[in-house]
Amino acid sequence: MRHALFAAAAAMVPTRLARLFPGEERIIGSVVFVAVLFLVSGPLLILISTSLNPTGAASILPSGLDISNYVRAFSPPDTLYLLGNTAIYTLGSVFIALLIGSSLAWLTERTDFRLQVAVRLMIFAWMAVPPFVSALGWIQLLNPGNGAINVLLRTVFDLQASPLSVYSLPAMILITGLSMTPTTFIMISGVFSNMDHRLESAAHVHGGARLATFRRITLPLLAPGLLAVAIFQSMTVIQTFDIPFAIGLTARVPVMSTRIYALATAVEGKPEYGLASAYGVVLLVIAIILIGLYLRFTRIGERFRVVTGKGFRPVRQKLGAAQIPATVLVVAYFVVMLLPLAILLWSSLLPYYQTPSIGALSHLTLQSYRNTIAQPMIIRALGNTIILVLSVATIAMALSVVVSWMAVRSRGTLGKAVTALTFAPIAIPQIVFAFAILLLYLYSPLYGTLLVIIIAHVTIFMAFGTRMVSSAMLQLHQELENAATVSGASWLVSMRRVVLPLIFPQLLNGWLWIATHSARDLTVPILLMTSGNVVLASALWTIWEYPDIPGASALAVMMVVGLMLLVVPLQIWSARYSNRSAGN
Amino acid sequence: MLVLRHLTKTYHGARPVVPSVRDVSLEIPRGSFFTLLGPSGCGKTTILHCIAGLETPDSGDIEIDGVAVFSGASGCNEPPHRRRLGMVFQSYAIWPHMSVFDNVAFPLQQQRPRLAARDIKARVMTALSLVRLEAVADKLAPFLSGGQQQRVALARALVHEPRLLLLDEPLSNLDAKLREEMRVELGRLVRQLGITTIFVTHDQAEALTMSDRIALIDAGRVVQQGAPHDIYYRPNSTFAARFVCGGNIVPGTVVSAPDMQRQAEIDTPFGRVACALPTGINAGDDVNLVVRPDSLRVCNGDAPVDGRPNFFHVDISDVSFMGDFIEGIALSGSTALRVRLDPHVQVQMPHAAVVEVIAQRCVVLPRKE
Ligand SMILES: Nc1ncnc2c1ncn2[C@@H]1O[C@H](COP(=O)(O)OP(=O)(O)O)[C@@H](O)[C@H]1O
Ligand SMILES: [Mg+2]
Repeated sequence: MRHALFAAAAAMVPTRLARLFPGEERIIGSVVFVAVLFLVSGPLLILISTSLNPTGAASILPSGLDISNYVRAFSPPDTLYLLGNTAIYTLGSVFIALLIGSSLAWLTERTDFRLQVAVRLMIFAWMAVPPFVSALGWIQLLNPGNGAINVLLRTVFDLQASPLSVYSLPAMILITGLSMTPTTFIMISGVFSNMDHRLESAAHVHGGARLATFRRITLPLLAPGLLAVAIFQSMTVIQTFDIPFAIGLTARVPVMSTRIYALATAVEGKPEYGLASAYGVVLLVIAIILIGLYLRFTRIGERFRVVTGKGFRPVRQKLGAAQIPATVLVVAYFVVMLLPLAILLWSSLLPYYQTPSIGALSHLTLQSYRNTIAQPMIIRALGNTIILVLSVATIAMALSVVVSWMAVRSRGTLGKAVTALTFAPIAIPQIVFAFAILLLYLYSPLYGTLLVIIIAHVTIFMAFGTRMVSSAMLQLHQELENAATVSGASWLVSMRRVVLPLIFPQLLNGWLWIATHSARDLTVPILLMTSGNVVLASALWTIWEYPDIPGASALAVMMVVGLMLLVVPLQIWSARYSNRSAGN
Repeated sequence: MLVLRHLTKTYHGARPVVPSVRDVSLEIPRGSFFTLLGPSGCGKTTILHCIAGLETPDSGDIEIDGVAVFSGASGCNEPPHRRRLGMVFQSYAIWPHMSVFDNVAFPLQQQRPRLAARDIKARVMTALSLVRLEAVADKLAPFLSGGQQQRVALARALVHEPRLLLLDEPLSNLDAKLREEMRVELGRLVRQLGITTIFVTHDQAEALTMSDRIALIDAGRVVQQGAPHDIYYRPNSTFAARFVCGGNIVPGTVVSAPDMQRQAEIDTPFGRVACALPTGINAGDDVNLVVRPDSLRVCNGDAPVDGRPNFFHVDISDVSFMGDFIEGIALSGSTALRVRLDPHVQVQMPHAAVVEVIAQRCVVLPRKE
């Protein structure tokens, strides 16, 4: 079985190529460098130059230095409102995500909480749920007209008007915060497990009371790590487009990301590329400041990090009687997370939208699934999505392998430059990047093709792939590769026969991560959408807007199930794999 | 025949910027066992990597069998996979995802024109039988013991009949007993095959027992070259004496002009020693006297000293039993000399004794402060 997998990995590099030229790693490295340079800096340059065009200029081509777009972007009162919204939205969502994420991480990492395994499973399966899909679920639960929870509350308390509305800033904050709890959990678990718990024990031994220890030792030790997570997640929220898009447009609560979309796609009137670019540059600057802060705080965190001894296990706190309230809260959290999926499942099984009731059970049917699958647009979208996902994951991982090798093995300046380049997209908000790609290809024949989406996704997800592959390569002893070279293997052969098989688990993991995220992304496809390049995410949005609620729900359910089939086996496999290598 | 000429290498980004290899020139005759000996960090691995092509020197030339594989002047630089060498790495670098057979077959599979699978199989099995590992051919590498991994690495380095065999501290990861065995086996094997071998080690005992010739390296420079016997008995620097002979280094000053046989007297902290001076050292010079354990003879404490040159009173203490001999510290005033005692003679410690410094066996080196 494992040999079959290695063979598959080995097939990634054709043998013939290997003997073609002597310094093949130089040539391939240079080609990749130029490609990455173009992928990353091309869109950014056009973004900046467009933002400096005169207001309302028809062309996106550079025509001098004109700051009128920035003047407009910063003229009150609209801008203050926009920035204020964005700030409240960001802080609120991050607060919720941190609160829930760190509580869960504490329960699973530091106590004998009984549902630990369930929490981990749930968190990892969550990768399969596109954030905008849960937003659609929440709309069905909380919309002021016939949202299921509103109907329930109206009936129970005999109210005239709906008490809750999904179309509001608080609802947006809650939904975004909840959707970020899994990643926050994972990051904070990392912070917890990097801490040396003996420092705490030392405080206890020296007479520190529990609260005093927490305040004087634990909190200061954790603070840089937690702050780093908070900053990183703030960056994520500022970039978030899909939830504000699904909810905020109707709610008329614009944030930076949806404003860029509105200006770029002419939701109102004609597109204003100049102004959109100016907002894009502002968002980019904010993101760069945040990533700078993030790097700073992770470095401080590193300083506190103590290498823990072998076989060291932190003492877990006994919850005792607190197991029950903890269980209740965690189960409530599960329910809240699953409710939007449940309502989507419900409405996908009915011919037209009905509030959940016993009576409606008799109408259950699979008709929406049949109808949806039969639509030509969906078939096209499915085909496109498969092409998109396969090519994005493969190209991005192939680039990541070359870039990581250059970064890890070659001590030249080229390696450093290419690493910096691939990391740059982490600091570039996806909506800004998608918009910049739109500008770059607007007048080219590529515009409106699937290829543009592929290019955008490859650039965006390469950063993740590079991080994954280069940390794997760093673990690999250089002599393993040297041994192949001295034995007569050219660079390509040593990559194919030695390096790639040895980092295969990480390659597979990265490939699947990118595939999943490419499939669930709405930001890029929606901004670059034409009739020709519709993918499942944008098709789902189109049906929803139509509106065909049962059809959209059915498609959403199918997407989530499909992604689960990708994600869950992978998670189980990699958990086993890391257990096994830890056991050795 | 391997020739290195004026090889220099500085690592990119090294802080502080000092060359790891400085102006190294060596000639290694075909079929010889040549050792690069030096303390850790002196540049041995770097020299080996330059020969293999894994690192590119800044300047100099490397020639194998009369053909340049690297030349700083002409820019010629044969890539490592074309140099037809075999190498055993310090970590062995056995590929853990392949079986023993596949590890050893790898160099043959890289040859062009392609070899027939049958030939590959036969040659791999021959190589495995050389290192007595035919029985584990199908095992995955991680299931081997340290000694077996080492032998797989050796088989892999030899299977394609390379022009040179490069060994980078191949014995240093083995435990003491196994190291002894492998030292003998390795020596026997390469001599039987007659392959030109460049062996890197920081262990002077390994170097002395195995090599035809030794190049002693310090801070990237070759400080002395010669047969093991030459280096052991005629170290040309305090560094060589300290590193290879492990003897006592006693500072002193020449107090009399050398006579016709270049005999002279040297003042040392434990007394005046009469011995021969090498040319270039004269009265008044500061010197180091190298006194190996075999240049000291321990006599009874009541042996007459007065009037006899090179006899000194000492107190012997701090003895450690080493099996075939006893090592002791002979104190004379504040100077300590390491001496060897007969393990069959029981003595009370501390013990007054007389030592004789056997002048012909001592080496006098200039001392630069
Ligand atoms: N990749 C490298 N980058 C920078 N300096 C290096 C590198 N490899 C080795 N060095 C330095 O070069 C010197 C010689 O190293 P090396 O050849 O490995 O020594 P040895 O094998 O004799 O122990 C050391 O000072 C070491 O720190
Ligand atoms: Mg070394």
